[in-house]
Amino acid sequence: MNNDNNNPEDGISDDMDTFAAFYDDYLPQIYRYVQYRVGDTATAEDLTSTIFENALRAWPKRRKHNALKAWIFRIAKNAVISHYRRNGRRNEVSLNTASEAGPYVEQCDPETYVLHTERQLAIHAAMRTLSHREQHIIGLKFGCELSNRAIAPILGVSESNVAVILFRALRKMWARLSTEPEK
Amino acid sequence: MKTKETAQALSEDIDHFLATSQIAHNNPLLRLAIEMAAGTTAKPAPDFAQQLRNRLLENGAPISSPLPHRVRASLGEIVNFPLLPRLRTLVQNASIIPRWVWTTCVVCMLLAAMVASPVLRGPSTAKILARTIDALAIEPGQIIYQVYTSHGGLYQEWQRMEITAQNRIATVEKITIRYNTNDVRFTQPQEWFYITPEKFCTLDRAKFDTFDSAQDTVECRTYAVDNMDPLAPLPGEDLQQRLNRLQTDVQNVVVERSILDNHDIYKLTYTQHNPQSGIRITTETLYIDTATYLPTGYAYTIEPHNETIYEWQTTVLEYVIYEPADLPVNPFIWPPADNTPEH
Repeated sequence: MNNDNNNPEDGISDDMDTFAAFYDDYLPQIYRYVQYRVGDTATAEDLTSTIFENALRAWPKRRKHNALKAWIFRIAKNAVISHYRRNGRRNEVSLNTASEAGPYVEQCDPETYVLHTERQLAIHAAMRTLSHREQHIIGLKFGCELSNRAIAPILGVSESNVAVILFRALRKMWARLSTEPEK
Repeated sequence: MKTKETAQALSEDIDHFLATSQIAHNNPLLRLAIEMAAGTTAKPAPDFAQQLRNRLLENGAPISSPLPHRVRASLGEIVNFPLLPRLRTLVQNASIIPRWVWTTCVVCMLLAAMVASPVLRGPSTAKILARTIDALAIEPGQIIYQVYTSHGGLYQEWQRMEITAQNRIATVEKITIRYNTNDVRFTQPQEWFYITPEKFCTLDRAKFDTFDSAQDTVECRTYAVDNMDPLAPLPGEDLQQRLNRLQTDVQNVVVERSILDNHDIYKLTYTQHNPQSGIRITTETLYIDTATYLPTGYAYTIEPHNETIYEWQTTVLEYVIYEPADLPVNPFIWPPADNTPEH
C-alpha cells in the first residue's frame, strides 16, 4: 500500500527519476482501479497508459506535492469518465477477459464461469448507473481495496462521509440488482 | 440505527472481509460487497508495466496504444482435411477417363464400400464415449496428472480423486502450476493455484519470492462457510462427469474423425440450446485420441443472452493417472515448496 508520507516527491525535483519512482509506486493501484472500473484488460492497459502520459505531461506543473495520490486518482477518474463518454456504456467484457480467467475456468466449469461473469456484468451495469463520485469510491474501495481513511483525502471528504456514500451506493446497486428480471 | 452508524458498521465489515476473507455477517449489502470484491486481484502484466515504463521514461513523449489484445482463436485452424483437394481434382478430371473404366471402377468401389462399410464407419459415438470412459476410469485415492496449454500458458495439474459425500468419485483437491508457454521443462513456475472444497488459493512468482512460509493460509480465499466437508466435490464438473453426461444424451453428440496436432482424433461435439436459462447456447468439443482414448484437447463456446461469445481452448499434452505412491512427492502442499513437484 502506498503511503503519501513516503512519497518520492519529498525531494521535489521534476526529473525523470522522481517520475519513475512515482510510476513504480502507483502503477499497480491505478491499474487495478481502472481495470475494476472498465472490466477489460486491453482497455485498462490503454487507459493506464493514457493516465500516466497525462501525469507525465502535467508533472512539471503539479503544485500540491503532498497530495500526489489524490492527483493521480483524479486523472484516473477523469480518464475513465472520458472513456465512457467516448464509447458509451457498451459491454466491455471480452474474450480476452474470459481467457484471462485461466485456471479459474478449469476450477469450476465454463458454464459456471460464464454465469459468474454474467453476474459480474450485471453488477458492473448497476455500478454504472451510480454517480461519478459513487463509482469513483466503489473503484477505490473494491478495485484498490483502500480503507475509508485512505479514500477520504483522495476525495477531499471525511472518513465517515466516505462510509455514508459507499453505503448509499451499495444500497442503490442492491435495489437495482434485486429488481432485475431473471434471464 | 442511524444511516451514519449503519454505514460505518458496513464499512467495517467490508474492511474486515478485505483483510481476512472472512465473512462476519449475512447482510445482503455485505454479500454484494463481497461479490464486488471478488475480481480485485488484477495486476498489470509485467511486460505491459515494463514497456510503458520504458516508453514514458526514455521518450518522455506520448505513447502509442499497445497492440490490440483481442485475438479470437479459430477452431477451424486446428482441424484439417488434407485429402479434400485431391478428391476434388479426381472428380474434376473424371470426364477424360473411358466410360467402361469409369463404370467398372464405380461398381468395384460400391461393392467394396458395401463390404467394408462397417469397418470404415468406425465405432459408433456410444462406443467411443464408452471406451473413453473406460480409459479414464479412476479409483478413489488416484491422482490425475495433466499437462496442457491454455490461456497463453503451459500448465501442470494434479487432481486428487476420492469418493465424495454424494457417493461418487470426484475431484476433492487440485493444484495447478502455470508456466510460460515455452518453459517446457517446467523450470520457472509463474503462478500456483490450489483449490479444495473450502478455499481457493493463488500465489504468483513475485509473491512467492517474498512470502512467509510460516503462514500456511497465504493468499487463500475461503469459500462459503457451509462447505467445509473435505470430501465434498470441487465446484463444477470434471471430465468424468462430463463424459457421463454426454453418454446420457448420446444422440446429440456429433463425432468426426480428424487430425489434431498430428494426432488421429475423434472430435466429439455437443451443443445445448437453453433458451430459458442464462446461457443460450453451449457447444463443447472433446478431442479424443483414436488409439488410446485419452483426451488431447477441449474447446468450449458459450453464448449467453447478449452479444458476448466466450471461447476457450485447451490442448492436452499429457494425461496420466497415478497411484499416490507413484509420485515421489506430495504435490498437494500449500503453500508450495521451493522446488516444483516432479510427476
